[in-house]
Order: sequence, then structure tokens, then C-alpha cells
Amino acid sequence: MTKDRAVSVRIAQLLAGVVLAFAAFFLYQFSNAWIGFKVSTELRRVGAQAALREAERIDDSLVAINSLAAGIEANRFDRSVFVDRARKALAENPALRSIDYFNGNGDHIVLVTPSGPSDLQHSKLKSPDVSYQTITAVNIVEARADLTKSVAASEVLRLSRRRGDVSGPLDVFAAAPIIIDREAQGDVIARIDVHSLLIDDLRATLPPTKFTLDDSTGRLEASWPPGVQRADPFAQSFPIKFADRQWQLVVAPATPVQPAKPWWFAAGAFVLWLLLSWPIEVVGQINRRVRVLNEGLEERVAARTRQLQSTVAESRKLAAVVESVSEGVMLVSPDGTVRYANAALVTELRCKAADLVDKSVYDIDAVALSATALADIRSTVSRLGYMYLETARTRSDGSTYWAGIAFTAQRDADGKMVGLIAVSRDITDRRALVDQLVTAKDDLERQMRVRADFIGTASHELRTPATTLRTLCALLVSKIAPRYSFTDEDRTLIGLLERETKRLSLLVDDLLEVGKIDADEIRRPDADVDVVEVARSEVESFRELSDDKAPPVELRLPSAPAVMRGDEAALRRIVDNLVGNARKFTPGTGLVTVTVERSAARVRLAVADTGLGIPERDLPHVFDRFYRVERPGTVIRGTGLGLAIVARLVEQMHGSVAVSSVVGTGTTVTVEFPAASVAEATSIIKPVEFGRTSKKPA
Amino acid sequence: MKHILLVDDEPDLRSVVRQFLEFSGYEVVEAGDGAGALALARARKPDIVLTDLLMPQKDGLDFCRELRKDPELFDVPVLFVTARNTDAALRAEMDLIGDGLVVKPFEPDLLLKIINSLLLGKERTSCSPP
Repeated sequence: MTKDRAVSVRIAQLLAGVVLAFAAFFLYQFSNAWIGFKVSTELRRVGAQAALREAERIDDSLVAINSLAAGIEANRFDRSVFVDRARKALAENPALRSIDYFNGNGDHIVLVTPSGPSDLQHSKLKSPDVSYQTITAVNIVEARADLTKSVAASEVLRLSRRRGDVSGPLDVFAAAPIIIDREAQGDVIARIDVHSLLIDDLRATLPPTKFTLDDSTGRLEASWPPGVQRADPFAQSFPIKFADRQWQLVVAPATPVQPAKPWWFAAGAFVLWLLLSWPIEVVGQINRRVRVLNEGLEERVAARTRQLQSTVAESRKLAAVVESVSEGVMLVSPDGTVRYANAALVTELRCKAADLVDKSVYDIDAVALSATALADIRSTVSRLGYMYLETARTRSDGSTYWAGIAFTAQRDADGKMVGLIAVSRDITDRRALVDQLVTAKDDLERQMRVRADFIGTASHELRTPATTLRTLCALLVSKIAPRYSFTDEDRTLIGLLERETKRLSLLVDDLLEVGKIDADEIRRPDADVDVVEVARSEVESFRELSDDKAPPVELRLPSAPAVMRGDEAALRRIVDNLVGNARKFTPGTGLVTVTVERSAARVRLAVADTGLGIPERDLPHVFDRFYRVERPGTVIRGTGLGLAIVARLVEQMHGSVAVSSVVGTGTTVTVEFPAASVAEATSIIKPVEFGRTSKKPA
Repeated sequence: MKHILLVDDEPDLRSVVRQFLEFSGYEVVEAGDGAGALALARARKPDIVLTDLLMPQKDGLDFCRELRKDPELFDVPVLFVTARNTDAALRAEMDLIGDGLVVKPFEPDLLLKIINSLLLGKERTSCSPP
């Protein structure tokens, strides 16, 4: 409702403004026309009077001039005659006050006043000046054509009009027509300066205007100096009678009053009206708007204040956190100056905050940092966002400690890096621990090397006598025994010697193998191994050595390779041990079965026998070193290391081993490995090797 | 009678093995190191060489290399007898230049079998048409 009212008020105001503008326009036009009418009437009246009076006087003056000129011409300027005639003219024409005569050189020859020639020795005046002065002031010039020429070249007459006449304080001069630019050919040349003529009547309203009487048209033309504009509303012309003729006198001001355009008046009035009438409404509106703006501004100021307050609070909180953390925190500017150091750092360095802030970071971390190092840190941090450094730091008391310093970038709101944030911690303890660990690791490695060396040496040293003993036994049985008549008891003893010697060499072999397996763990190759191929070749080597007392070995292999990752030699050793064990504990009438299976992720190798079986209570221990199943009444002896070796090797190759057994039925040992992702088994060149097993030759 | 060159730095072992091989029907000459073995091999032209790997002065591998360079001895079968079989590089070398590897302690009968088969192989090679 309020809005509608405001609109209608606005429209009413607009209409009123328009009406007022029209009124102003018509008022202006009317007043203009009225002024024009009044002026032209007045001009006509004044102009006519003035022109009439002047015409009469000019007629008189011309008579006098004509007689003078005639006298000059007739007498070739006889001074006394000229003076006489001039006196006579002055006496006859009361309007004339004096007559000057100038010769062709501009010399002032005679001044004739009613009382007589005052001085013939008048000071010389420059004729052009005089002429021009005369001309600008002269009102009327009249001469015959022939006279004009001669007088213009030589003499000048100046008629000075008497003051105080009815026509006002005007000087009227009569002179020879010396206007240079006007070379008259007609009978009469007349020039009237209406400026002078009308000056008393119109005064300042008319600019300097030159009026020219045109013979042919009978029109008196007005001309103005350049740059003065002619304004039509004031141009007036009226007829005058002059020299027995009718003239048209044109009067025009050179500098008219520049009237404002009526539509400007209208517009001005309109605007004025609007300015006067609108504020009431506008001010109200502005007030309302300002109030709304104010409210918004206040709200924003309040919000900003709250935000600032919370930022400040947040900053304080952060500062408190930074100040209270146990790590040393330091802000470093790009030139290496410390901008801030928290309490922890101050404590860490056993100094005062003042000793750090605004000091160079090189003084604090002198040992590790140089200008290049800092530049490196900056570039690393700007590239990776983070850098960690461990360095020795010197405290203010001269003691040193190890500091782990994490550098991150300090960035401004635009993300530009403006410095480094260094968070440090005393890591002396940790470093000592690391040092200890490193030392321990070195020790361990050294010990392992020593052990490997020992095993190498021992292997050589033990194997050689074992070999000698074995060969000796063989000699004893084959070469020496036939020469002597050994009793059965003797032969039993020799057999015992042979068996124990064999067992000793096996024991040496296995013992060293166990040690070697541990030592080899680090060096164990990790290659593709085809379990199918290994099983086949190992079983074949058993078959080659097959003896009548041993059970046959059956192979159940898939047609495709079953590839795993690991050490082929180790796998051979596993198969060898398992098959060897199975044969050892299985009678010749039994059967040993080697099965290889492959699933997507696993390769499984199982060695099953139909032998003695392992009692349930022993099963958990069969993979322990030197654990042997007690079998009363049997003579089968092992070193007790075979399965332990298998278990260790399987473990090293990330596999698993399991055993299941039923006494009197048989035992199955199953080994599983992760399958390699490679589908095809790589062909491996295998070295020829003999005597690696305890297999008994046929 | 076939001629065996037995090289080992252990005199006892050498002696026992020599007796065993002699009893098995071979003629055996002994050397205590690679250098002596090389001289002996050139002098006696053995049918087969049994050599230890680790020996003073010149080891089994160096000795074998020298043999392979000798125009008269390059095709003599060489059987390495060693207590060490762990070093992969050594094994590869032995596979390359040797004819077989026997690890101590070995079965004497197995050794005989291997020697026999190596000699048989050599004979077959020698008998093949030129």
C-alpha cells in the first residue's frame, strides 16, 4: 500500500514538473517577444529623430565644406582666403566650432575658430594618425569624386562641431574623404558612423558598429568588428532621409545578450522542481536504505568481530599448544633467522628465548647446517613438503645432544612458502639404542659369518676322516677279511664297525647340513622351481639305486608343471629326506607313493608309505632335532635330523609341513608351498652330483 | 690296467683310497697338491683323475684348468672329490670343466661305480670313428 502511494506521489510530482516546465517555456517566449517589441519601437523612434537631426546638420556642414573646398581648389590654398572662408562658414553654421586644415604631408597648417586662426605654427601631427583618428571619429564625409581623390592625396579639412548643441556632446568632423579602402566612383560617397550618432541614446547597449551607406540599394549597412556576433532579435532597420534621398538605416548590436534557450529554461525548471519536490520521498527512501545498510554493516562487523575473536582465540589456543608440546618448535625465515622458539626448544637448548629469537639458525645447528644445507632443506621441503634430519646440536652450556628435526613449510594465505617450521626432539637416547642395535646386528652378522666359516672348516675336517673310515671299512670287508678266517662273532663286530662308521658319516653329514641350512638362509636362492620335475628326477635316482629290500617308489604327478618359488637344491633335499625316510621304515613288500598336486595357489607334495607308522604321542615331536621314535625291537637307526632338516627348509621357503600316521598302516608327510605365478616351469640345468644321499647302492 | 691319478692333501685318506682302488683293480698314482699332480699327469698320462678341491699351492680347479689346456690331457675325465659343495660359483665352475662331483664322505662302492662309468664313457668316445 505504501509502495503504491509512493508511486502515485512520484507520478504526480513528475506531471507537476512537466507542467511547470511548459509554463516556464511560454513565459520566457512571451517576455522575449515583449522586450523585442519595446526595443524595436524605441529604436525606431530614437533612430529616426537622430538621423533626421544629423541629416540637417550634415547638409549645413556640407555647404560649408563645399565652399571651403571650392576655396582651396580655386586659390591653391591661399591661407588668408581659406581663413576668411572658414570664418564665414563657422559664422553661418552654428554647429561648427572650428576648422583644421592639414596639408598632404599631414602638417597642421591652420586651425580656424570663430574668433580667427589661432595658430599657424601648430605642432606637427602625423597625418596618418590624424587621418585615422579622424576617420574613426568622423561622422560624415562628403565630397565629389574629383575632390576626393585630390584631397585624399594632399589636404585634410577637419571640422570640429560645437559642443552643447541639441544633439548632445558629439563632435562632428568634416573632412576630405581619405578613407583608403573606399575609392568612390559615383557622385557621392557618404559614410555615417551611427555608433557615434546613436551613442547618447542607446549608450552601452550597442557595440562599436560601422554603418555603411550603400548608394545602389539605398541601404545603410551595419558592420561589426570580427568576432562580434550579430543577433537578429535586435536588428532593426528604418528609413531615413539624407542628401535628398531616402535611406534605410540598419541598426544592430554587435554583442547581443546571449539569451538562454527556452528549452533549457524548461529543463532547469523541471529539474529544480524535482530537486525541490523529491527530497521528501527520496530522503525517506535513502534513510530506509541507509538503515538497512547500517544494520547489514553492523551485522557484518559483529560477525567479523566474532570471527576475529575466534581466530584470535584459536591462535591463542594453537600458540598455547605449540608452546606446551614436548617437541621443540622453531620458525625459521628464508634467510635463516629464527622467528620463534617454543618453551620446549628453549629447555632443550638450556638457554633463554631471547638467545634464540632473531638469531641465526646456524648458531643453533652450527654442526650440521650451513647456508647450502639450509638451501637444500628449503628446496626439499618445497618439493616434498617434508624433510627429516638428524643432527648434533650444541646447547648453550657447550654440551651436545642428538636432535631429530622435521622440517615443514610455513606458508602464507596464498600458499607461498614464507619460512620453515622445524619441529625437533632430543633423540640422544633413541640414537644410543639404535647404535646398540646396529652394534648388536653387526655382532650377530659377524657371529654368523664365524659360524659359517666354522661349518665350512668343520665340514672339511670332519668329512675327510669320515671318508677315510668308510673306505677303510670297505677295505676291511672286501680285501682283508678274505685273507683271515674270521669267526662269526668277528664278522659281527666288523659289521658293527661298518654300520657305526656309516652312521657317523651320516651324522656328520646331517649335523653339518642343519648348521648350514641356518647359515644359508640369507643366501638361499629364490627362483622358479618345478616341483613335478624335482620329484620325478629324485625318485628316478632312488630307482637307479633300488635294492631288493627296499619298497618300490610310485610317482603320481600331474601332466603340467607345478611351479613354486624357492631353492631347488633345498627342495631336492626335502624330497630326498622324505623318500629316504619312507623307504627306511617300509618293508620291501610295501609301497612308497610320491604325489604332487597343484591348486591355484598351492603346490602340494605328499610322500606316503605303508610302513611302521608313528605312534600318536610322537607325532608332535617328529620335526624336532635329534628326536627319534622309540621302536623297541627294530634295528633301524637314523640320525634324528632328517625331518628336522625338512621342517627347517620348508619353513625357509614359506611352506608348511604336516605329518599323519597310523601305527602299522603307514605314514604320510605332506609339504605345501605357495604356487608361483609363472605358469611354465623354467628349465634348470642341474649339476651332476653323486653321493649326496644315504641311498644304498644295489 | 686303468690308470688313476689320485690328488688329495690328506695322506691318510689318499693312502686308504689308493689301496681300495688298487684292490678294485686299478693302477693308482698319488699327488699331494695340484702342482705335483700336473707334473705327474704329464708324465704318466692317467686314464682318469680324482682330485680334491681345496689344496695348498694349486687347488683342484686350477689343476683341472691346466689339464684342459694340455693337448695330450684335455680329454681325461676329472672327478672332483670335495667336502664342500655349497658354493654355487664353485659348483658351476666344476660342472663346466669337470666330469663329476663326489661329496665326502662318500660310499666307496659308489665311487667305484662312478669311476667305471666315466672310464666307459671315455672309451666309447675314444672308440668312435675319427
